[in-house]
Amino acid sequence: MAWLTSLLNRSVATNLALVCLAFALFVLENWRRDIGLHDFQFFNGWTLFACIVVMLLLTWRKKVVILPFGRVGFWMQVHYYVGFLTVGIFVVHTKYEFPGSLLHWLLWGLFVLVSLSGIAGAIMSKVVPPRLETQSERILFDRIPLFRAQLAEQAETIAAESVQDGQTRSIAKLHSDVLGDFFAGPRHVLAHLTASKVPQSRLLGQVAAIERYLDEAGRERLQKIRDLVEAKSNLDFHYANGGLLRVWLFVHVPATYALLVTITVHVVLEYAFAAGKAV
Amino acid sequence: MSEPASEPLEERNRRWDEPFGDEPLDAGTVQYILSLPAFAEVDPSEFQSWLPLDQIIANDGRLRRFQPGEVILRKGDYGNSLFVILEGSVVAVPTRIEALGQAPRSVASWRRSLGQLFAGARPPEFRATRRRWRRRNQTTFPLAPSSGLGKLDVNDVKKRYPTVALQAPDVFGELAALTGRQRIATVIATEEDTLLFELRWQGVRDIRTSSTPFRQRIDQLYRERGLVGRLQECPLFGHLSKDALDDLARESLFETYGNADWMHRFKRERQVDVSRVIEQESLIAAQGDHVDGLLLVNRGFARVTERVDHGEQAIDHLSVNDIFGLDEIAAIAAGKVGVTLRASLRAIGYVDIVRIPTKLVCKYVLPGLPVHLRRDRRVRASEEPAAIKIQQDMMDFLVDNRFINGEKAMVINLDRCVGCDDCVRACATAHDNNPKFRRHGFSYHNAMVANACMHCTDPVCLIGCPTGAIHREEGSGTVVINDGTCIGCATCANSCPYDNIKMVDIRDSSGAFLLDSNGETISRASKCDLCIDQLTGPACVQACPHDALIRVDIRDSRKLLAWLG
Repeated sequence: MAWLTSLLNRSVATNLALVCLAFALFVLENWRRDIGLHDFQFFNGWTLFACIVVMLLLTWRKKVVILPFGRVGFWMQVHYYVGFLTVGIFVVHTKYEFPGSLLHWLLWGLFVLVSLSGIAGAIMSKVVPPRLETQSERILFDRIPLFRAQLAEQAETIAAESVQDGQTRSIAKLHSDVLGDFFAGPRHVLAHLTASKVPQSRLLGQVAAIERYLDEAGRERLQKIRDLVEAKSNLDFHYANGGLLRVWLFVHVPATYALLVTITVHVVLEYAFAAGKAV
Repeated sequence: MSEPASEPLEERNRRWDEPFGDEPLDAGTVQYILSLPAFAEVDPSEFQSWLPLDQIIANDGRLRRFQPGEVILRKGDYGNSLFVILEGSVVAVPTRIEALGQAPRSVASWRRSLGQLFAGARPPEFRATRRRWRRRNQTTFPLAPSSGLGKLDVNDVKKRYPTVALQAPDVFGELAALTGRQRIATVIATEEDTLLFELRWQGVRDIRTSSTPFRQRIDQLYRERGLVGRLQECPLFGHLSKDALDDLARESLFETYGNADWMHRFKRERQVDVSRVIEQESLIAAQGDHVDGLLLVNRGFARVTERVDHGEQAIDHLSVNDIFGLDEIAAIAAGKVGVTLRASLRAIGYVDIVRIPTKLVCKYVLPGLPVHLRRDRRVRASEEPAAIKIQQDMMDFLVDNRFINGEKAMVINLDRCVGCDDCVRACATAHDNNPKFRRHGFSYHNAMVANACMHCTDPVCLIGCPTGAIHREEGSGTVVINDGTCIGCATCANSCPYDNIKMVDIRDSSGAFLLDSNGETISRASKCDLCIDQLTGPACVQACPHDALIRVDIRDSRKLLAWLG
């Protein structure tokens, strides 16, 4: 739980306090407009939209990275904390109720999806890197398929050699029954996400089971197979966890753009049917 | 599918495609310069036919004119050239002049950065053809522009600081030209139209290589001025008078240890077992030996070790201006007998050492030496809080892999890095879609030293470059490559002990490889330039959303460890 300790350091506490203060000021102003008989929904709606725009600045900052507008790390922090504030303002904007129409349900659903995926991403970006670090050397995610193919080729070569040179069929049979499929692609993704070693142990057990049928040379080949299985498991671990760090963005980013489109429709409709209301 | 290749379009770069001045010097000027005392004994027949002396002077030299008070060099800036005074005079000020401020940054502009952001996509490693490039550079000036370092009141400087007057035909700046290190003095013009001949470092190197008299003359100057300057830079000698420093410089010995080509063997050994590189390191002083003077590291790195069972444990590493043996000499001065060295000193690669006799250290250095400088580094290190004290295993990792050479090494905190590659994309954005590093490298615990140029203290990549294309930027000292003079020989890439320079084949605007007259592709060296021409500094650091990337001086272990957490 080192990430939790680092999460709750002094600067984080200060930033959260600032978020709380901003939220309190917002609630106060919202209440003032409410008792002043203004349509406070337009106020808190536009405040919500402004917060979303501030959060979008992170994306724009990344695109103009060679211009001196502060580090992306700073904008990421802004993204996090304004995100918390946005959730609070959203709750106020919905009047603490579930939506009553299809469009509002869509808005509500997309907002919740974006928020939850963002929170999940923030947590994963703290939790997953230390996990990857503890599992041997860090592997470049994009190169995993290449390394996997190399391991598969080596395993196949050993299996073929065991038949041609070693006059044995146990290793080749194990390869065709189990190992061929294991090396063909990412396997046991869920187990690796929960850091379970059970599938790897089962596989190594199957490898160990044929050892009794082999001579000295065969045992040496089997040891190489064992090493390859462990290396492939390690690759799968990196694939599963490294993939998690990428996959969540495929939820967060498209949902954000869908949310923006829906907000635009929402704003147009609200103004179209708001004639005569005090703003 | 094979890459498209175009018809021959391009000539390969040659040594003097870009003369130091806007134009090569004319024959009359070259003859005049060669008649000066600094070059009078240089024999043109000693030079290779493809590297003639007059062409070196014409192309690697330029003329510069200064007015009274104009600053020619600034102490602390990195330099690549030596100067010969042709007319007029200058003063050298060994003390730092605060009014001059910091080193200038390279030119970066909003217009250029915006242009880069909105430029259309180009093929990787696109280069404009030479024809176009030459047209763009046809404007000529009779003299190179002045330094732009500002102007000072010479009389005021002379009153406030100790100065050394130099006049025609004296030479200055040889120390930085030879070592690629910082200037040790500020030099200011004192007369109207002071005319200087400036020779860039590759020219100095080539003349020095071919001509023994020139080498002896420059080395003598280096010894006379450089050593006193080096001693003045070292805090240990800060309390000494000028006479005492001169005495030390006169009696000290220059020694070199290790092999100048250490990087090739190191790269091989590193592939096998990096912990064994210690066996290649030359012994400078052995534990238990008689104390034979104070050792001052003048250039390069050294490892301090202690014997443990059947091996040697690295307990410290030394670099420029660090010393070895002071505690033992202090013990001798205190009257102890039978004092021997408590640790060994080994050369990491190639090391220049200045050996200062024990009796002079006792006579000049120890009396009046501030207490904090007298204390043993090991004792001081043992008193540091555990959080910022470098652990043995981390020290072994950094020293064995020789990362201690890195002044701007890219270190990635693997506890924070999510592998988003925003750093690589930012690097590509800053370099016309050509990333200059790999987000991969040697790692230990949560620290990964990525394959990005570390802008070394002792950049061995510079040594063999035949054209001087790879050089230190004046002022900042950043190691950069001049694409216009890189001939693609790969000497720098082969020399880099860390494999941080790659060779790339250049292309035209259609994406086809540019070919020379023999139909072969043309290569250029490519590496991190620390985004020297960007408004933001290194784009990789700017871009990291999780603060997982830092450019750091590896020897600043406090900063590194505090950041790694």
